[in-house]
Amino acid sequence: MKFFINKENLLFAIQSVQRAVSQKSPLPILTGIKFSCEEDKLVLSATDFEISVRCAVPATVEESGSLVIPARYITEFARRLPDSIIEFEAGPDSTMAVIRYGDSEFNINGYDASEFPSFVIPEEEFSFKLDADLFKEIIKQVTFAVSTEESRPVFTGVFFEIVAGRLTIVATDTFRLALRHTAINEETPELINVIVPGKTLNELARTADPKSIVEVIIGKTHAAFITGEIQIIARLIPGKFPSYRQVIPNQFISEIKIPLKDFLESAERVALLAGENNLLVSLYIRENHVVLNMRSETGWIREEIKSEVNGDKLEISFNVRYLCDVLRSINYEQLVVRFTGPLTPALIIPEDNKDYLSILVPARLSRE
Amino acid sequence: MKRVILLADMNSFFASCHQAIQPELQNKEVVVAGDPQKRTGIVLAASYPAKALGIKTGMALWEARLLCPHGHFFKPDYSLYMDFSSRILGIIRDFTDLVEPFSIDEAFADLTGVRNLWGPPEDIAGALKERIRSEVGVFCSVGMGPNKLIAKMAAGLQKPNGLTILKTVDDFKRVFWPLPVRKLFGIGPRYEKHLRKYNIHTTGELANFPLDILKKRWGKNGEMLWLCANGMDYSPVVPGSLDVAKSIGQQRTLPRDLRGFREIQVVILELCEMVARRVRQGGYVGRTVSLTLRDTQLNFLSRSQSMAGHTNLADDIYLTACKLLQAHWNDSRPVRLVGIALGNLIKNGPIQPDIFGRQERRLSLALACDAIRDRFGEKAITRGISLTEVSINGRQR
Repeated sequence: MKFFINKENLLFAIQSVQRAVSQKSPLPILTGIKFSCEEDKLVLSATDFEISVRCAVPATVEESGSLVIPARYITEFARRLPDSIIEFEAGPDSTMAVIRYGDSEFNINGYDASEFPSFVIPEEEFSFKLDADLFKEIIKQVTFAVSTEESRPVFTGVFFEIVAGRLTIVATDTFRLALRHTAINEETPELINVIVPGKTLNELARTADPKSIVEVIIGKTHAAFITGEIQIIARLIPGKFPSYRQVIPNQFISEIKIPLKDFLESAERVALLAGENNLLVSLYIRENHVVLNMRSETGWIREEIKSEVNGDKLEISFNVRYLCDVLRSINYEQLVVRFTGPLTPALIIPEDNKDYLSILVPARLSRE
Repeated sequence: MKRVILLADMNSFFASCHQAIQPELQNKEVVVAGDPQKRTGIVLAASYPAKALGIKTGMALWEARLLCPHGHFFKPDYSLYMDFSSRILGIIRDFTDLVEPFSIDEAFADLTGVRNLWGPPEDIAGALKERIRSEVGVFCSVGMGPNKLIAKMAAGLQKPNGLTILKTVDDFKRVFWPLPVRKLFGIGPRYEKHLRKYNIHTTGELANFPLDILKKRWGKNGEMLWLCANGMDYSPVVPGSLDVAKSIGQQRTLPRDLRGFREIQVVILELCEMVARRVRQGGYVGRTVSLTLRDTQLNFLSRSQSMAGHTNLADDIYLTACKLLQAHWNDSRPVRLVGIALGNLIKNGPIQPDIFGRQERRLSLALACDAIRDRFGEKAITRGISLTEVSINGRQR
């Protein structure tokens, strides 16, 4: 293996695959990044078996070949390289990589690439394409609700449901739920539903070029996301996602129309007062305004927001972090919040758009 | 104005309570120890005649029996001790409202504001001791000083039935500076060893050691120790500081050693049930789970982890405890003692129900079980797992 590459391309490729590198694997080779070069490309790949990422960048290849290099060293090393052409070389039977830059060289021991798990795009059951900027937006709108609790794996993923030309993605950690619909052009088979790990989607949203197109390939056990030179493969989460339709409320006692900007700014100021043991913000729904209130050992805060109110007066409490999470993840000017009661879920939707909704369950005090 | 702080420390408290209700045991060898059948046979308290025979707190029960075959041995009776404790606090509160219970058998009182009412501090201390002796029937050692630290250390100087007054910080220095540093509040055997490396052997040497070196080595704790050695303590006497629980826990020494996660998890689940029930009874919710384990070599492990939200349900505590167990304990290590505690408690704190109604269903189930236990006793309803052989509840049936 022998190739030449500039620092910018090298660093881009490393940073694209880096998050898939296994942090603590019993297989040492998985803590490495596979470098392979052929024709005019350098292809990097990394995997921890849950997620695999592969990225191709242009390089001048003199001799094709491949080698696995420990990620920890090569990442830090690449960052510190001079801004010049860098040469990589490894003999056909050697696992030692020689990296030359200027008049200097760095030699590092790697692993035999033939032992590295192969990167296989799953056999397609169904695939579709979406603009990357749209894909990023819809992911952001739901992934805040993904659970980090590993003991119930289905909630650590995002549910993809494709039926009749429409993609619906849903995430919930059971305390809040976010849902987004998008039309897709492809002809859709009967019904597809899978659960994609939230981490994969966040990684995709981080690396995808907004001007590109994302191709999503759904297989039986894995899904692949291809955008530009980056390919991500994720193991689908087995299990049954709860029937989310049943929990979307449809009977309400009151409703407010409120500008997102005002609501978010108020909520974020209130959140400053929150502590580990004090996270509840009280909302008082009055005739033509909403009051946000929080009291803690530090002090207390009262925020009043003008809004159109229909229905009963109401007093309801939420975890202020949950409220901020949902408001930060969306970008609609005017919101409608519908309430079903002081202790039952509330629905947040954009005023003039039926593609998005989120549900927030109020908190209460233990003796109520 | 200089403060006048008093600490009353009951002598051999548990043993004294038994002597108080059975006066014929006065001046006899009385030992309070755990249950030998359940291997918790460790001496918790001993009367002074028993101590004179060499019996010490923490000693194994069989050892105590060898030293003192004619002694009167009692199992601990915590409701008796609680009753005595609250009667004693009531007496101290007749002198001042600034009373802070420090443990079941110790309390601080701030007498600064009541000196003109009751006379000089030594008279108050004498009157207090006499009332506790005559009305409750136990002896106590009293220490007095310008702050809590000095009061506490003074009380330890003379036992039993002592009264020591260190009026000023200079009195403290005169008495304690020549004494080994180990006698200082907050210094255990480990600190003693560390300090020896710095050639610090007495409290005076610690007090005169450069503060910045102590701070660099031990941070906040270093500064704390230095302040203690200099007799400085600015903390106020806070009445009712024990009224609000900080954590609620349960621990058990097991009748036989358990091996393997499956067996240990049964006991953990049962302890979680007990803890959760007490948390609900107190109207609390908590967020931090602590797991304590001890193996047959008496090696301790204590780890804690906070959950995302507050809870008062056994399942949530159990799930976190199991994570701690799997992360920190070797499956093949035998376990002799298991403890579970829920901390970061808030009274009437927040509960976050979930969209699918699971949390609410689990809470109503727990409340229904509570109601059954309130009416028919703690064992009227148990988990199926308590019928298995490793259960700590099943055995007591």
